[in-house]
Amino acid sequence: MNTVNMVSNDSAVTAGSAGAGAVVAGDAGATGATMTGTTVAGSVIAQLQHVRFTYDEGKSWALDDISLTIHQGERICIVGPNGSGKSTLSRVLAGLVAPDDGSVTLMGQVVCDDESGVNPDAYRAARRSIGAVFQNPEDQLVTTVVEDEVAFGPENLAVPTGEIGHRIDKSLKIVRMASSRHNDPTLMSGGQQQRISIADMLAMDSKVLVLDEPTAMLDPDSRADVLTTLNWLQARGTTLVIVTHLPEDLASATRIVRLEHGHVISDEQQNVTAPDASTAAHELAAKVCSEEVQEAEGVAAEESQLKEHHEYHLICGGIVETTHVHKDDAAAEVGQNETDTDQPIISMKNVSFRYPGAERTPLQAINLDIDAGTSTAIVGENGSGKTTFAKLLSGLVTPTSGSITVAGLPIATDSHTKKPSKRANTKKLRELHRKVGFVMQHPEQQLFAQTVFEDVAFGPRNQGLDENQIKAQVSETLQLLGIEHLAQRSPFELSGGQQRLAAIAGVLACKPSVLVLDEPTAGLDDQASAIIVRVLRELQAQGITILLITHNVALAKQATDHALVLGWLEDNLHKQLELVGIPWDSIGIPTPPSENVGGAPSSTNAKYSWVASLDARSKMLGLLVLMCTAFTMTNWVQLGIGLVAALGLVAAARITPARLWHAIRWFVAMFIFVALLNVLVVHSGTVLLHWGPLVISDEGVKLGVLYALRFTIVVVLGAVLLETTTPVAMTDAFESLMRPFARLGWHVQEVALVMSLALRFLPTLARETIAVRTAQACRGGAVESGNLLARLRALLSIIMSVFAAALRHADTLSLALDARCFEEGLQRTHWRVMRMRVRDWVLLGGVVVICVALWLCRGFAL
Amino acid sequence: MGRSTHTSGVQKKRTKTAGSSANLPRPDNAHSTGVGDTGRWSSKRIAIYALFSALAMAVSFIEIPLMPAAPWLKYDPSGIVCLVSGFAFGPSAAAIVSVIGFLPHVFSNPLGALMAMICALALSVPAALVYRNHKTRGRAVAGLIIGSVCALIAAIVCNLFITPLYAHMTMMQVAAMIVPILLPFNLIKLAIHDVVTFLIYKPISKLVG
Repeated sequence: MNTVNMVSNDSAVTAGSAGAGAVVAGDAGATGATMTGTTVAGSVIAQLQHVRFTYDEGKSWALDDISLTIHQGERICIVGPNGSGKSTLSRVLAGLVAPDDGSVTLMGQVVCDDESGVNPDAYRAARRSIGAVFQNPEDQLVTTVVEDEVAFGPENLAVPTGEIGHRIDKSLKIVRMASSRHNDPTLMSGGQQQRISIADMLAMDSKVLVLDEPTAMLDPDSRADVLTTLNWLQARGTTLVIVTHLPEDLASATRIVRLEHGHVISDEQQNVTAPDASTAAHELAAKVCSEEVQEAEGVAAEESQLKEHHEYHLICGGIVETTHVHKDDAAAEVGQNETDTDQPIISMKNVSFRYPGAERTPLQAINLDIDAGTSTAIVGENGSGKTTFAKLLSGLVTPTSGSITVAGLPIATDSHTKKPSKRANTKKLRELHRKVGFVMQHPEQQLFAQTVFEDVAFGPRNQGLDENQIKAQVSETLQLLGIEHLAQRSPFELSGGQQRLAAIAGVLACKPSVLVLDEPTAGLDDQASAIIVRVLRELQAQGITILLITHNVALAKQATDHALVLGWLEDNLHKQLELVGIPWDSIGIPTPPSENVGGAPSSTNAKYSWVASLDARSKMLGLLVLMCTAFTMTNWVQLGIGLVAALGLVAAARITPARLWHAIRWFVAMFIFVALLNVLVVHSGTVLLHWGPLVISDEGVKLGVLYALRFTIVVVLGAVLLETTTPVAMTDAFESLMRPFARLGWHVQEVALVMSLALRFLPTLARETIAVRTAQACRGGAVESGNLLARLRALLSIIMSVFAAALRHADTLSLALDARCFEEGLQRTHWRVMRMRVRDWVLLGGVVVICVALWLCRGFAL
Repeated sequence: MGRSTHTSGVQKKRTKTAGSSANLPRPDNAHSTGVGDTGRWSSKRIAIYALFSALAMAVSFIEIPLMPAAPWLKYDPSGIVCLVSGFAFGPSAAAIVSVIGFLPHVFSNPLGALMAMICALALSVPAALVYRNHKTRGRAVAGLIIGSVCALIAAIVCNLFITPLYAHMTMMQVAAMIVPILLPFNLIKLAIHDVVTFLIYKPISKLVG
């Protein structure tokens, strides 16, 4: 180990002195400064000797005789093709898995060797100093509030409550997320999520960070964001081990270890000057320009190439003249001999779209014609409406106004009034699904069948083709993608790249004439991306119209001839326009509305109310009791008491009528149903109407109103609770209330954690379920219509995919829990301390009073 | 340094392989680090329970009316998730998923949620118990049938007690609804649960590994 990263003496001092004020505890003084001062590298952080690792009982080795020593302060990049064992190696280094063979020493502890096997205590101790960050940003998050998220690790380490607060402050400052501490991390961008995952580890005082492809799933902006944070950490002396396949990650590595087939094939020191603290600080200040740093290299060369190969069009709000993507002659020659070439295959007239209640969108007054057989890239910033554009074309969303015709089918027609455009009927949409293939983001999430063949056959089968046709169509598609040898394999056993190809085959087998792809190469290595580019070119040669959504300019260049740029000029669009050679200041484009630009509203004080400040335990108990008493109400006096109590709580919770309506609107149908049921079944009292078997009496009407109102009270009380209590608080309260049962041997702590994680992942899975359902519907499999067998097939395809998704999330999540040192039975601390205050006793007292009053009023007549 | 140790590693490797297969000192061969292995729930188990519970919650929002005659009775596939959890991870997993899966509904529709939990428990726990010791297709079918019978009884009993709280009906009036409405709806619902579960539990168990 000779010329390792010399985090120079003065930089360490800079880091140290900065650290005294506002940086994470632990690294500042001792370890960092003392040992990086000399030419000799720091102490040994991890040492692997002859490590072997197999997933299939020795048939093949993911890691084969790896020996590796890592020193304090290094920034090591582990590179290699898909399946070379990079991720496995990172998990061994992070102390998350033990190898089959060989010895592992982490943080000076022998955690595993051939003589004594694994040493759980040593692993436990080592993990406290090693942080791990994984590829999928979202799966590592355990809660829905940033500060609770960061607190989770220190809580598991039983850090005292006051100290946890300090650690949250410090680690969020380091990753530049301090202003978001009350926000929901699951709603943030991938880059922000990764920075929070890094903060999670910093809060646990990690000396080493092992990152498994931390930027692979991110867009270029977020990637630059995470890299800046890593540079900053490196300057502060944190040891970094980064698994990657992206060239920009390698730039500041002090050492690059290359793996192939589980062997280390090269291990080279890099002669880079590690960024010192001041440059890192500059980088922070110059964050806005980070894209330029990143793009600086290839841009000039790329730009000229782009102009050569591409015809560019700009789609922005307010452009009146129609953009026309022409089929140029060269393409026409190769293309099919279509007679009907005059008519554009896609035509948009004055199309605008805005999600209800959502903020601005550049999709405004779009006029666009696209000729058959062309290939067009759709580029633009995140949030510029690229995916929505694809959904409009696939008939998955209906434009707010304007009309769209695809392949001769009017999928939305302008109503020429203020009303939204009219959507085509189900039959037309079905026809559309046959003509337009939509490869959604991460299409491998839609795989469901036992074999690749069956999965790909799903679409043709739904089209009602006979077995021979299905077989021919499937094998043709598999051949095109070069995966015919995988036909009988389970799609779940394939590598990531193969899964992507199989999923794309599933869409292509439906023989669409227009193919829309949303980021088809995201997260793939170069080899797999190259296959997709080749396939797109071949499809275009067959006459299929291609629309490729991407933020990868290089991909757009390789795979398409035209480009549409979506976005607001005032944002980063001008940069993109420069890139494609359009003089942006010459175009009069509306600037985005300024409302909403200030970022997310702060939720700290806006949501404060008397009810919100109650202890979650008293609130849950009190409201649950009140909800149950509502079912005992049998007269107007009782109902009055209940309504006053419920409305009083709504007021004390400062819930506006609009918010209340929003929370209970789904139950209105239930209220009406309950009322009607009573009107229909109660025949006593004076008969008001007698018509055939239908008898309506005055008592029936009264009872209908009574039962509907008492059900309303129940739902309103529930809404008060749900609107004022976070899932985290509810879980804590649940755990606290159930604690006595732990004595009976119940796993109360774990069940509480399972519950909070389930609530945390609910929106994620719900979103994916909807995505899968949409994707299978695009392949002709809908649960709502068709014969019983087809419905069952569609249901199976959805359920299998979502189960697979759940297990995939569980995989990363369990590693993330390990990395955060969660362990059952260990002493934990709580950052949020629950405290019963006077107001809590007031609430519980009030509930008792109401119960007594209801009991006293039980005798009144209806 | 990676290079120099590589050659010596090759010689050592042979002895290592022989040694490790002869006496496996590791607590298990699934690359466990031994942390959390002793009578506790591993983080893997917590993660899978959590995701399956979340899945049960998520699919409970897919609601499909089954009978044109009774459009308010809607089928939701969450029971399938409970059954599959039971088959893959045992009765305790089935119980946890059945209860936690309906927790979000407790504060909006407490009695409905309670009823849903009881029915899910009656369905998935007996099925998992029957299947637990002999994991054959026959046992799976037996488990599904026994579970369905329990769930059917539970659904009818719950309706007898809970429906009168929503409507001014006597138990007798509710009982009169059993044959024309409750029985056919629940039979169709359970039949779908059972068929789908039977078709997917094997592939999913394979995925779980």
